Amino acid sequence: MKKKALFYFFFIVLFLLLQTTLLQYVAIYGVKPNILVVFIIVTALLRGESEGAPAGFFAGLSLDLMFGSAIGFYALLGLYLGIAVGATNKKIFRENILIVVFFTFIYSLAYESLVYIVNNIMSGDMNFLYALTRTVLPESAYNCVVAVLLFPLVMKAGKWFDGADKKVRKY
Amino acid sequence: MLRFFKSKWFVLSLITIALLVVMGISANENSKLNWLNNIVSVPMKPIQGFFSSIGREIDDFLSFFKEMEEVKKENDVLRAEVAELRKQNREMSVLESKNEELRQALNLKEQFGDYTIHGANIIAVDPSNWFNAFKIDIGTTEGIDSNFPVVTSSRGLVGRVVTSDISTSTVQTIIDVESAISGWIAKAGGGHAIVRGDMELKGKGLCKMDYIPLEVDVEVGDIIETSGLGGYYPKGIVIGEVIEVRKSNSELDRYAIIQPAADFKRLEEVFVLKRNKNIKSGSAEE
Repeated sequence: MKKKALFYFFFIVLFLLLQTTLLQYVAIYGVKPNILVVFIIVTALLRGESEGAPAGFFAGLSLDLMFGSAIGFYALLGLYLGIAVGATNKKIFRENILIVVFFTFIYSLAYESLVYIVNNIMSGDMNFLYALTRTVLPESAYNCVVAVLLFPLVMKAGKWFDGADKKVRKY
Repeated sequence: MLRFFKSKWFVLSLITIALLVVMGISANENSKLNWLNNIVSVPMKPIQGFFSSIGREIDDFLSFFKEMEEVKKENDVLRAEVAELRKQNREMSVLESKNEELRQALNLKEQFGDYTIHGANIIAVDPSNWFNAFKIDIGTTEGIDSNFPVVTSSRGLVGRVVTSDISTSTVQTIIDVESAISGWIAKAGGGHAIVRGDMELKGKGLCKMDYIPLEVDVEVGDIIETSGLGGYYPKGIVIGEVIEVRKSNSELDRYAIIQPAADFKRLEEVFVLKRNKNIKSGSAEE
């Protein structure tokens, strides 16, 4: 359990750092992927909501404390993202990379659309179609590429946790 | 009933309500709760600084090859320009001494007389694709506070400080969609207009100017400065240059596209204008 918490802590810190510093250099047409969102989705898919929800909450909270205008906004979204993705997990064969990529796309789309709508609902001039085609869709596609890279990492970590749990149970 | 209180839905709704309350309180820029930001921003600062400098090094290295050809061409152009400027410079120095004399006669104040200039490095950028904000490596310890203006080395307007922690501050740029500042069209018969960030233009590092007064004839090449209204920015900081005037249905709908004086793609170092006297501004412009 301690190992698991430490692992998640390390990865959230690492991805937060990458997201706020180096990711701007791989942006295509000004759109960069969101590693933390992909991390929440992949974790929740492979590990279920019991790990996806806390991972989502803390990843979101770190974003809030780093850059958010209101503490709790990304934490809440991350928490619900983890729960929503975790709920999908029971019904499908989850350890298939195509399935992971598919759900990364769908949930990124939903997540970023929600972020846009919540941020702009009060502004009066919502241009959702423009935001969708120029930012949300390209980002979701880009997130899929990141998901392919993150998938083996989270998978291996998961096997390592399970293995460690079994050993504990034996004795 | 007891089972309900232990169920995950109960815990979830409890967390949701708690977070909504925290959001409500911390949405205020001056909220005490924003102190929590220090937990993340203080330990992350050195690592982010390190990561950012690595990113810049790699980017510089890669663009070195790409720009080689351009640089050669540019060099020829610049040589010609240097000769021209040398000539102008000689003429200018005469004008400068003349200007100094007149200035003293009129007792004019220095442009940023009420401000001390503080250099800062950009250590992180906004993680999302929605906002154009960044973090700099100075904070309340250096006396930086919210609403301080931020400019480039050539004194082009970058934006303003939104929040500051112990050792870092967040800067909202003028191309951010939530930014709106009062601009002055700097020419004879100029007027006030609003310069704001625009979702379609921010990707190209441009912004938009609307509410242009009917009687003002805005043209390509006009320089836009801060008007000094609103209280955040002192008067006369260069915002940028008009590169296009668009008219939609009627004369009332026209707006101009501004090329900011600051190059937001290549920004590394910025300067915060720190107010010397604690002048509290009464009116807010946003």
